[in-house]
Amino acid sequence: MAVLEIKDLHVSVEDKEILKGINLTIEENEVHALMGPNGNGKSTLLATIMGHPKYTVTSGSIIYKGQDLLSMSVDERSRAGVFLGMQYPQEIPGVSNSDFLKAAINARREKPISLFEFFKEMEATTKQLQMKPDLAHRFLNEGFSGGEKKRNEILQMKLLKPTLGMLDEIDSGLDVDALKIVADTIADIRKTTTMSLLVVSHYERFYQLVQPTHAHVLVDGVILEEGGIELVTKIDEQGYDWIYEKYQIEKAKEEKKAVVSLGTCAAAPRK
Amino acid sequence: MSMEVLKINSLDTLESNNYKVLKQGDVYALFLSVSNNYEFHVSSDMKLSVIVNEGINTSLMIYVDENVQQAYINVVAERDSSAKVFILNNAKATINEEHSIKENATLKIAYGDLERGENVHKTSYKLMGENANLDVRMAYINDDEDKKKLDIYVDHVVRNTKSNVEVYGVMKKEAKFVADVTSHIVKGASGSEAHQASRVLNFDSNVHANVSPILLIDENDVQASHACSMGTVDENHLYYLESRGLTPNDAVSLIVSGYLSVLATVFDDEELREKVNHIILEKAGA
Repeated sequence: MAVLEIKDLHVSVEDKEILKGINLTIEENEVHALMGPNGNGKSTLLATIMGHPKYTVTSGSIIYKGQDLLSMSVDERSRAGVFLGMQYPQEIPGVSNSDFLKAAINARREKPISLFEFFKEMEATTKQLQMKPDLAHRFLNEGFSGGEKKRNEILQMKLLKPTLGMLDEIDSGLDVDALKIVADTIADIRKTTTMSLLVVSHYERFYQLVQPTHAHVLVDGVILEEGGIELVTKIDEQGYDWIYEKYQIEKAKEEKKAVVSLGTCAAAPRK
Repeated sequence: MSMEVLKINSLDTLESNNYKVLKQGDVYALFLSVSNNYEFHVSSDMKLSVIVNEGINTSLMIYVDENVQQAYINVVAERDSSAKVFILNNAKATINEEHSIKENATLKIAYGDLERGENVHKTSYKLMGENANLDVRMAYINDDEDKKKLDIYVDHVVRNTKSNVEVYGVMKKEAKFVADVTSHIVKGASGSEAHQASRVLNFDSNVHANVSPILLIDENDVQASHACSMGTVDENHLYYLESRGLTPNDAVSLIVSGYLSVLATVFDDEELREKVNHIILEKAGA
């Protein structure tokens, strides 16, 4: 049975259609790279699988290990083994990292984890991710640097042991060394579980480290190209223009982000 | 570092090495003469004075039991003493508090009303000696059809006194909450500081919260400030927590207990902080 099976998925935000018929199947142990220019629906797809209330599924289906994922709430999806490492993890003042992690772990256990076991695992994982030891006592993501937040997402993935891990630009904000540490931790999780991955990134370097088995290019709400890691390399070298040419489509204009003159800048806005 | 918490099992035990109780009818006076951490229950309607003797450094956990209808609590921080107090109102009781802080003394006091019901809570603080220092944290969870009224009055009687009052409210369903916070710097109390901050977190649109910050200033050369904010819980926070498997209910209680965890910071002692946070986490569930 496939871990994830998406069929003809259409998704809207505030009546604007973002995803226009996605088909995607992920099996155990597979690593899928999801690529595409900004603003074409990659994050929308991940957030829809997780169940973000902002996104409305207008048609299509998502089957996760034989269950209808769309009928499940966000927390039910998480407890069933779906995980999303977010691009912008929330900062929650007052809530300590350790209280949060304990609650998340206990949410998927019948008996609460013992404090000893929890701190042992927490300590090992913070060490592996080379995070500061005081992490447990700090408030959830509050005052964390960009890189620390991303490592904290991976730490959660490690502790929660998902069946399907999704990473949304988890590599942005990480320096070269941190990227390697994160990739090693992901490799480590894959060694001991059958976790499948759906990874959104713009950087070939990260893909080389996680070695996708499949690659997809999402343009204007549909998957246009599919292949293996060679597709990742091709896009790294040539960009997306060849895809626009091949499929005879125009680049979506980023309407809302019109160039605003700062008044003093002499450079002409690029067309 | 943690110090052992000394349990006073009954205020009717009149004497020990650490304290002494004077009692007449329902009036109790508890004298603390040794620096220590104490814990005790107000288990009947009573008028209680706690006198923290000169130079003593003490932490107190005071529980007002469920069956109490009316209680009066008075803490006197004598010269050069330091008192850190947490009062948990487990009753639907009407509580009157009256505290005084003498020269060079510090009173840090937190109060939690986390139960369902209707009540009125009046509390006043008198900064009576120079360099007296007051720090107040009040936390309310108001749910269902709770109606709670809070009146705070801080009186700066002499110069060079400092106060800081923070009120935290969590409002759910159709709860009502009215809080008047008054800080008064009288003529002659120059060099004094009075600060106030109130924050209310609303979970439903049918709640009614009304917080009035009042600063009465009769002297020059003083510092005073007030801040008040009301807001709703951040949907993105809830989504983030739920995406890690917490039920909506658990997510709310984690956010609320985080919001109210500021109560525990009146204590330096780790064990006492843990105790307070544990109480809050238990009560914060929806």
